Amino acid sequence: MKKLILLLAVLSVLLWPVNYFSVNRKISLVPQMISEPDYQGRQLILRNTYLYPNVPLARFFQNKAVIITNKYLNNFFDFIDPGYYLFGSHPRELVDGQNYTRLPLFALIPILWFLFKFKNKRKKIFLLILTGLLLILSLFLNHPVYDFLLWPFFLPMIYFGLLDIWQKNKNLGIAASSLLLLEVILELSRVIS
Amino acid sequence: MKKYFFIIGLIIAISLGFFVRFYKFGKAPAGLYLDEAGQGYSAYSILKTGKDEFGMPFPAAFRSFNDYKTPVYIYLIVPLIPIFGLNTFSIRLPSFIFSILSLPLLYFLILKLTDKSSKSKKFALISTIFLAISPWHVLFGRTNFECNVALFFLLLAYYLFQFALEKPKFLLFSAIFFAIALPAYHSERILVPLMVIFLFIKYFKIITSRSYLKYTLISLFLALAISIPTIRIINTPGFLARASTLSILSPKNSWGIKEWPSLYLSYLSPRYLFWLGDSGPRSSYPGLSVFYLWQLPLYLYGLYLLFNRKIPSKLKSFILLLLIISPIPASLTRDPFSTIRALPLVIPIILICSLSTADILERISSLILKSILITLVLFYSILKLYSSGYILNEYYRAPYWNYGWEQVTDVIKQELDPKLPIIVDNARNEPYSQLLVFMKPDPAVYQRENFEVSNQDYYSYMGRNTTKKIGNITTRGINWVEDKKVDQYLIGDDLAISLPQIKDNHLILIKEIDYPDGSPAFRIVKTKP
Repeated sequence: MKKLILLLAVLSVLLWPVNYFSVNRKISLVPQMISEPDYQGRQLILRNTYLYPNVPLARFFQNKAVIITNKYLNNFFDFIDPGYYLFGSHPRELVDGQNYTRLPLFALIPILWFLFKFKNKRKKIFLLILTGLLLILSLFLNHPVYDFLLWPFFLPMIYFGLLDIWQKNKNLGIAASSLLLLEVILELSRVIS
Repeated sequence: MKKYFFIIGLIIAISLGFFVRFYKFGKAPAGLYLDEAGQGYSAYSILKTGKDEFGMPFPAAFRSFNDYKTPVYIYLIVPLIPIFGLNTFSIRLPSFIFSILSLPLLYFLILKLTDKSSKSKKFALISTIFLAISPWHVLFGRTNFECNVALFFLLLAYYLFQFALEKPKFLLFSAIFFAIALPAYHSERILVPLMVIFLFIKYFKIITSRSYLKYTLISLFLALAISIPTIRIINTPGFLARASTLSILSPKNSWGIKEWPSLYLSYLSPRYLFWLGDSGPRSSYPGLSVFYLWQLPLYLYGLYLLFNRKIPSKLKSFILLLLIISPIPASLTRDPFSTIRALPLVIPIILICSLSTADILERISSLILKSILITLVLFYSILKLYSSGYILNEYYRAPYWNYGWEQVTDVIKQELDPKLPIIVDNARNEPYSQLLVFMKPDPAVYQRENFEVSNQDYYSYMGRNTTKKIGNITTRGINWVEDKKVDQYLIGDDLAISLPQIKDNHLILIKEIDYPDGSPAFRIVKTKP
């Protein structure tokens, strides 16, 4: 059973590289940092500054650091949006066009189970490394082109999530695995055809 | 002192909620959006004539701009007009009142769903404070949005149902408020039946037991009786107007049911809740999402606690129920992350954040550290709300709130010759509702001069008469060839009456009304035939 679940998890994450290479044929991997000069951003901050009744308040909410932190948070929130992986960021797509489906929708069940229900001594370390990677990748303006680095993390999440569901609730395990398998077959056959 | 700690805390939380909602209330957002104005004049018309502006006596859904507005909010404005007059303040007041009333209601509802221990009271207090300063709830509590009133009735009905589990006669009150919530907003037309079905299944044994059956049947009859006006029009094009234009299931929309999972999930996604917010300029504040950024870790940790800690079962099922069903009506519409339609979601998210906050605060033993932390977070949140909601919003969002019509009517009343006709351009918007509110013409006269539909066809005829007559004012598109030959005033926005047009057509500029950012909102000119 473990091997079958592993196979299903591998098939589930296979959609990511398949779609990645079909979308990113001419993509540049040259890093663009969030700290790059932003003239328009600075002008906006300057304009906003004059709207506040006093300088300390204006400085607190409108300063140069806000330009960078906003970009950073924007990238970080892209990464922690389930829609980024499941629907290519639909319904609010990313402006750079890296909007492709990375994971099947029903992979969400084992992933959520892994995040919120699965208990394991090494889970904390796993999540710490994953969070660290997300925090680093968010430093890049063109962060979606590097998201393939996150890919290996989803395999254990789906695998251990599914395995734990099977162990805790067999019926739910059958349902979750069947739905995932069906979707994976449909998606992969669609991509291949 | 310890005895009164929670009562004092509740009073502080309500005061905080009152302060952030009442500050510049009626003045910010500056302007009166056409839907708000439409509701205001409908209420005024009901008050004066017993009919809406189309001459329909006490409608079950208000025709307005052919969007058939839900009736509860409009009827709530009616008694406020004799006290406060017909103005932005009174039109937005029901939303404010019910927004404030929701605060103690949430507190007592949580106590009802828990064991009323000191721990539960702390949790209830944290939730109330979070709701008091919630950008999502504050925004809709300061403006005319029916969703806020509907949420109050929904929570009240649920609260009374909890009482009914102890005393059956409360079933009657619960049914009444469920029946009021149903027509209070479009989303509740889906949420109320779902919630009632849930309660019916969960407490089937109790409500069908011998001591309850009589009350259950009377409650059903009562709810049905209150819902008769709504049921009567349920199959009309008017009742279905909103659904047919917005629903992803409607053939009119290019989006289909395949979009639904992504739309649904967006309502639970941290990206939308804590960062992007609503893309609608009237349902969001610039630079602020529906929750504060600092609440993100609380949301994630709270979700973990929800599934892994022992939580009172009634509370857990309430959170899960609202968390699951609240995004359903909104996600069936084409607009991504519509916070108006998903407002009930504010409650479970706040409760989830409060679960983690209560847990974290319990781990901090130092009272001083706790006090500093709470004060700093509250202070920052209120400042952020002030920055986004009152400073940036006023500057950037004034056009979206149809700013300027009050100033236009002041000029009409004070500076223009009342004997001359006035043409108000309506090519890009429908200013007649704002003119009605600020000019306050006799509704009986307005109804007579602006016939659009008979009472028989009120809910079925979907045609519109876009030309409106209000005394010497006519709202229609400007016809430059004909209109400049007549001695009259013309009013329009920057596109309708541009500076080159004024020069080319030899017009006299009477007044220019500007947006807060200095760009022209409207120009009032006089022809020189």
